[in-house]
Amino acid sequence: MRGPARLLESYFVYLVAAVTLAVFALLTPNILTGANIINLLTNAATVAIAAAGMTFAITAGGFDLSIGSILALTTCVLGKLVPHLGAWGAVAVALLVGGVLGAVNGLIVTRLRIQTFVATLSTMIVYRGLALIYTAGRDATLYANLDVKYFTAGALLGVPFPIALTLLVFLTAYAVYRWTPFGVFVRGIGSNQVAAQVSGIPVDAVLIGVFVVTATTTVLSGTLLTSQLLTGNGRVGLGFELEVITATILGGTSLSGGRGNVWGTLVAALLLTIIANGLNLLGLADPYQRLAKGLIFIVALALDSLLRLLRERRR
Amino acid sequence: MTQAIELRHITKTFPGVAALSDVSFDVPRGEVHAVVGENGAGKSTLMKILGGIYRPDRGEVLIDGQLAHIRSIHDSVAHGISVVYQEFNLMPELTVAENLYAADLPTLPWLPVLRRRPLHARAGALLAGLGLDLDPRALVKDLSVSRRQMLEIAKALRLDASILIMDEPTASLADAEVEKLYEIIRGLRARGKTVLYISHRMKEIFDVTDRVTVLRDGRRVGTELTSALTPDSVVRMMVGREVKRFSSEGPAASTEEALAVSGLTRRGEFEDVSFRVRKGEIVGIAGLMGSGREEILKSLYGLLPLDSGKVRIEGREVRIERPEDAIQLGIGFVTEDRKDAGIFPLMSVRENVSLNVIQRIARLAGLYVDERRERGILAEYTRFLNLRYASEAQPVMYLSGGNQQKVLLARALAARCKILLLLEPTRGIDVGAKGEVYQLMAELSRQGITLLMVSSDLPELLAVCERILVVWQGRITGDLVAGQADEAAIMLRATGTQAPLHGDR
Amino acid sequence: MSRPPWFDLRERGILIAVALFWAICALANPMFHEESTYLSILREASFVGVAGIGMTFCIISGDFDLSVGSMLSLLAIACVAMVGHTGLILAVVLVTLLGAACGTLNGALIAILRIPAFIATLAMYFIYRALAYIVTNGQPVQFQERWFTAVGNGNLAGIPIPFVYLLILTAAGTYILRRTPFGRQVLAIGNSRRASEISGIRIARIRILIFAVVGAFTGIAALLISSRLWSANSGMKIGYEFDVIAAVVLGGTSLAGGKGSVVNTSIAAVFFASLNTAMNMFHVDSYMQRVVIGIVLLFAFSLNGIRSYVGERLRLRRAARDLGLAARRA
Repeated sequence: MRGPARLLESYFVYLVAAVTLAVFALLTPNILTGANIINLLTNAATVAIAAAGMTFAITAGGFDLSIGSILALTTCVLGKLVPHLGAWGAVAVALLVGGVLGAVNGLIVTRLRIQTFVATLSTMIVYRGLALIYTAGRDATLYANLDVKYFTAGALLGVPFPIALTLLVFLTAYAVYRWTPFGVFVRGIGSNQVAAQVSGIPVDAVLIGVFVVTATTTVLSGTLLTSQLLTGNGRVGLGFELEVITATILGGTSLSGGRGNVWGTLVAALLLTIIANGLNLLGLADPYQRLAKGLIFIVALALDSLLRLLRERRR
Repeated sequence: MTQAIELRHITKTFPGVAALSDVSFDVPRGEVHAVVGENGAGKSTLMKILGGIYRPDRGEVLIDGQLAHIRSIHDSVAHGISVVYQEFNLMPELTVAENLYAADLPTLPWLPVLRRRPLHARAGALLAGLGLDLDPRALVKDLSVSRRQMLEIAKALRLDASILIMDEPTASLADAEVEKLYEIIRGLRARGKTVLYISHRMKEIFDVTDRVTVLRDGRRVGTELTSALTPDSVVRMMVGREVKRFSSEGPAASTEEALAVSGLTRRGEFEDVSFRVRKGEIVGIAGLMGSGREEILKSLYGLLPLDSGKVRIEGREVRIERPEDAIQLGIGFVTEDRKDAGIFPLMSVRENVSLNVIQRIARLAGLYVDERRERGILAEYTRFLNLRYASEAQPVMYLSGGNQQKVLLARALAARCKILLLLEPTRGIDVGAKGEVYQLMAELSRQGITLLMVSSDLPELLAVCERILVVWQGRITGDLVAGQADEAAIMLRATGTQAPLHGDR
Repeated sequence: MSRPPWFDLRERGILIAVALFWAICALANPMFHEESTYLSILREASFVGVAGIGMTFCIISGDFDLSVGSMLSLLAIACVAMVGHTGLILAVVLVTLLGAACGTLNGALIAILRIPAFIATLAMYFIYRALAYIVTNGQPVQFQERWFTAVGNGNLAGIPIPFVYLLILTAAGTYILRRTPFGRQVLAIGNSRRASEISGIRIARIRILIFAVVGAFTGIAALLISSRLWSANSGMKIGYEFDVIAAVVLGGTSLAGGKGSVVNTSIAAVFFASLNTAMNMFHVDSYMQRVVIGIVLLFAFSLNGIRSYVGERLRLRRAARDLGLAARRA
């Protein structure tokens, strides 16, 4: 019974996503039109890309609660610098800033020996403060700048940019997870941090790396967001971290660490977007989406729990 | 012949405690050398000095005739020393190969891309060379406990050490696997490696080691060839006094029936178990690991549900579905795994002892815990059990292993239990404290408390119990009177065979 | 040493921090010589502190609840609907019961359906707030009863009413934790689930009760806060759960569970309020204030962390580094 059961666990989210899509397809056939699918994928990109990074964090056994603030900071940096440096230049700076902030997160966790939850809780507050200080609380608008629109409207090799970027990020993430020592280290640390240390894995360096990864993917998400909003604002992204964590966990990455599911994260982010999109098409407003999101989360996990309990009883 | 290890006047003191005083002995190359002693005798300190975690205050270590300054694990490994500790340091979500070579994963030149084939090949070769049956691609979390122990040993040997130090290596191994371990050790000896073997278990010491060094209170008491010793002489050296073969003073049991079970069945664990116990009897349950003996005990306490069967206490039929029921019926349970399953580490001694009866002693309809009453209970059992602690408010995690066990005992007794179930009650406790526990058990029996004890220590069972039930593959295969049985008789029934067993002593 | 734990200064580090902080502020700013300043601090502290009492129980038992902010908005809206019909006392009772009901729902998901606490309360974080939005149609709702603002804004014999609530509830919370079987069981579960099972504790039942307690205290906090604002809306107090958890952890209760103090949580809440007030008085830029709070949190947590881990970790790290070097050579 173990084989199929374990398979079910990994692919559970695919099942849920398929079922949800089917349900919505019955209710609003519109959801399956080509234009809408592209719409879906584009909307999912922001959460998905950041979630790819978060997958590493949770696999390593920690959380990064500061990404909402990093998202806001990215929009502010872009908002203020694009007029001076152009879109690509500003993005380069944003990536640099993100990398530094991620490294700071990592250093706080490894040098000050503070748990990730509590450490990133604190930096979440600090980074948002920094974002607000930088823009003096005001919006930094970009109406005139067409460059930036490329990130939403442009295309890479014929594929809409957000979708292309998402695919690139996930392919890279999967490759790193599965085929590099870094991936092995992350899983090892998440399994048993002490054992990892004693086995000679450079735990501190890897943890710092993980936080740089989450910050960097968040900067990419922030770039897409800025391109959609065309403003930089220190108040965006409230609750973003929880959405991203939701996607990661729903996708099958285990909270206890050591076991990540990169593609699952992508599917879960899509699932969340399908819900939002489907409900939109049904004419239901935003709060119902949040409700549905929460409910699906619970139902999916309750089912998963029940299955696990049944399996245990049969043994 | 050079000595692999020479220890000269090793002394190590910690604040308030002289862990090692002037310890000197030699270990020749290619010898399997046992280091034996009670808890606190200094074995683990000595091991940590050789392993590079501690530095001696005085004295020298020579490896292969050369002075060795071992100031770190790095130095220790550089001198060819490798240590296998008791706690596993494995990463469950990684494969066997990944655990072995975590710090040294093969990658493409210039690119951080993992090459799995050379990784598995290297791991496979190492494991095959050691005669270990482990699949390099298996996930550690899928491995049984004994396989994980094998992996730990493989990890230590990977570093191509010439001196291997093993701390209680058989703690989690089943008997067949212990044999395997012996094979590995003998193989190492044949290849000229030196093994330092730290253990409490006489059987292993006499099965596989060449010489024994006994430590007591930080000093070396003696080093002799194993063949020149007997278990009794070793224990005498460890404890420093004549150890009486403990025996209870005559049957204290009455003729009243305290407990009767019939047809107890739990699919996959045990089947059709029936027996009767009289009030005040001390009954042992023996059997190999995995025979179902622990599960029987646990189901009597409500920790495991029964598929069928009846339980009668003092003649009345009862249903025990959870520990709460058992406690209500006057059954107490003392577990072996103190650290993980017994004590509440951060809570005080007083709070630990009173927990089972906390609702009972509370006043005002269960809304007020009277600390004075708690202290009274604690005082009563401190006297009775000779409990030692710095203060009643001290967190229990700071107590010694023996005292923690007594705290668990106190907790069960405080609930005024009439039947006490004990699971390996003296595991990990040194010989001196064991004697105290046996005395207590005899005293409890005299007071009319019925005791049911599962133990792997056959001499212990024979010494303490009046009757011994033997379990094999989930069934009761023997009901022996302790005074008329011996270890062979127990083992015969525990293995379900008639053949004479090795290890008989 | 059998000195009662209240007087053990090692466990009251946060109290020393508050005292020191007040002393420094008093030296630097004459406003800190005014009684009104301290009263205002105590008032502000109570809004987080009250919920912190319940959360302390939760974290001691090894769980936590991310949904309290969302629960709060829903319960605050309920207050607006109730108060006119029920008067104060009944409103307090009802909102506590409602909060307990929400908490029980959380607890059931966690203890019965075995969904990990982090995930279950994360889901409820979305759901409660969504419900709040739906019920109010996204619009803020206003109280009609003028007298009600006194609860959050008024004084009783010179002491801010919310702080009176905090004092009483802290005392009650401490009593429950230290002097009732329930409190012992909470501590036991946080220490060792397995040992608790063996001791006959009904773990599922107690965990559900704990979440009910969190909900109940959140309900009272909702009453106080909505009174202060004289309104409620579905977007209020976003991030509240983090404020509450921060107070508990700052007060010395470790996220790992097993030990903790309700009194310390309340004192930590006072500390945060003091920090906020001080920054306002010193005209620190409101955005800079966030940065300061974050850094103070980091500093405080690192003290905690350093105390628990330093010996163990340093030794392990050195050991691992050595082993790593050696392994590479093999």
